[in-house]
Amino acid sequence: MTDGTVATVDAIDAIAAVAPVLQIDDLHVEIRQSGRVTPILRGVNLSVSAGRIHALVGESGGGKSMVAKAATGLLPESAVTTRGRITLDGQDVTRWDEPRWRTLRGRTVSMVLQDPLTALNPVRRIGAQMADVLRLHQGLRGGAVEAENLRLLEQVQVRDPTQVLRQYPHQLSGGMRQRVVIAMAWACRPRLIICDEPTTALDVTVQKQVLRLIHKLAGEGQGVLMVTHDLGVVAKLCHSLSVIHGGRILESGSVPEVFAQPQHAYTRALLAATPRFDRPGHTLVPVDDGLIEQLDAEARAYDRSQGVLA
Amino acid sequence: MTHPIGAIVPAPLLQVRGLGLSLPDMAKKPFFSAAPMKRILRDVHFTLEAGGTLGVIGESGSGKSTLARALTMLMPPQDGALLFQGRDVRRFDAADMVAYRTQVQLVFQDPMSALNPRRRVRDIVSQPLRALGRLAREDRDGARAAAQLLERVGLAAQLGGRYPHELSGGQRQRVGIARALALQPLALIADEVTSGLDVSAQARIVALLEELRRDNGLALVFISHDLSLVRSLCDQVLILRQGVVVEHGDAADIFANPRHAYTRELLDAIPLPEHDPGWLERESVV
Repeated sequence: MTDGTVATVDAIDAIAAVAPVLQIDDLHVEIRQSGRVTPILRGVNLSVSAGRIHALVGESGGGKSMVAKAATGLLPESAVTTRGRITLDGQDVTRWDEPRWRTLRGRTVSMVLQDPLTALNPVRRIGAQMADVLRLHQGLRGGAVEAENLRLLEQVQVRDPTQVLRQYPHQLSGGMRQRVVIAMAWACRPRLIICDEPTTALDVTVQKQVLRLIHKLAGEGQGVLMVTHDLGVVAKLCHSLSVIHGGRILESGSVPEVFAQPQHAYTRALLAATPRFDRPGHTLVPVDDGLIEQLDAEARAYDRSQGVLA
Repeated sequence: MTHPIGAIVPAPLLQVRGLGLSLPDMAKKPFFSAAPMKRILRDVHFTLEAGGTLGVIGESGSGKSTLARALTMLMPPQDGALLFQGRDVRRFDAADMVAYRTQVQLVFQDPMSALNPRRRVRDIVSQPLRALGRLAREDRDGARAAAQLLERVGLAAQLGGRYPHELSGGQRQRVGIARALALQPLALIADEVTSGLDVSAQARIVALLEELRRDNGLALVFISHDLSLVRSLCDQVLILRQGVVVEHGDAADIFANPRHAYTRELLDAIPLPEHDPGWLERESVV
């Protein structure tokens, strides 16, 4: 790495140290449904700085999507935040109601979901859907909308953007659709973008292009929270990561450090379960049931210490 | 090597020679006439021995799922030959076809849509036996057969009472595999059975398939876009691109020394779980 790159990273770190775009402190969320209380986040701490890509890694059911939902104000109605704080771009948004969240979504925080086909309206043209975002959040009108649409699609490296704007989602390939969704999420230059498994449904070669794109856009100063179960994606794209299981962050650190020396047994287990074509005879080791039981027992013990009767 | 005249030469389990398949291209269909045909698979060759494992790799649109359907005759191929133990599958009569399909079973990518949401797991798993009247007389409801099948894929027999939506993704895929095993087939065709699963659930499915091969001599056609999984499971690899075989051969050989530029591009695009700052910007060396 050249000196220049190091200096830039240091500079970004210096800015980030002042104000992370997303800061989650000691977040406790539980689901209350038909008289039952189920804790789903147990004291989550996490911070995403401007210009950095932070990964939230874990298996399904571990709480990673719940963190993403909490950070966008999209928790289900049955979810209750019992303790802790979420700060978005300096504002405490912990107990905001839906009308207030609407002023933030798109402008301060936006989201890219796993399946672009469900994120897009199937019966409207791409251009019309992108125009909605620009009219609603940026107040653009007339020719300015069309021009901005084209600029956004060019930015996400869509070939022939004029044509794509006239098409419907089903006429595009998966990779193209995901680019459109990313362009829409980026439209208002939000401070934070939350990507929830954005490349899981894509082919490997297309995945690499989309990862490159996210990297490039983050380089322009936005913070990215990358929710994924793919440690390969984390290693190649992200600056830092948090490993989550049972709604608890088990390990956090920079990507070089954690991949060189994973501290928590669960992180090591996830790595051992990740297939590697470059190691002949490498046998996949599923995460040990005993380890999961131990983690679950720890989570229950934590609940008892917090006075939650599950 | 030549065999003496009159000797019984054991034929391979599956032989595919010059297989080709076309489907109507609905996007180009004129309003009043039939749609033009579009080639989905062209000149596919391979041989699968009993107990052997073939990995089929391809990206979306490569024709890999169509190949799975062609092999099970759900979409009969128009060209080439498909031989099962040396006999031409395309000439099988109805009875032979039933027998063939009991021997070569398909496991689907998305168990949520492949399993009937309104039936309990035990009924789903024992259905193939019920349909062919092969349930034991003292096991009319198939509960015992289901328990044995579930146990074989590492699921507790109690799960038999649940519905598919009450299971995790990994468990559902095991149910799909258990159902495919009900008729004691010689080969499984697994079409993207691990995509959509977590790494750990994925590792469990791979371990299960490996075990079935080792203990039961089950042959496997493992269709996937994940080269790393194919590497850990298969002896033979076939790489498909736009319906054409780009590279085919011994897995260890191809992974160590890919001959085709496309294979190299696929390998280079896989993010390995280790820190490598230059990877994103690096172009495939072609």
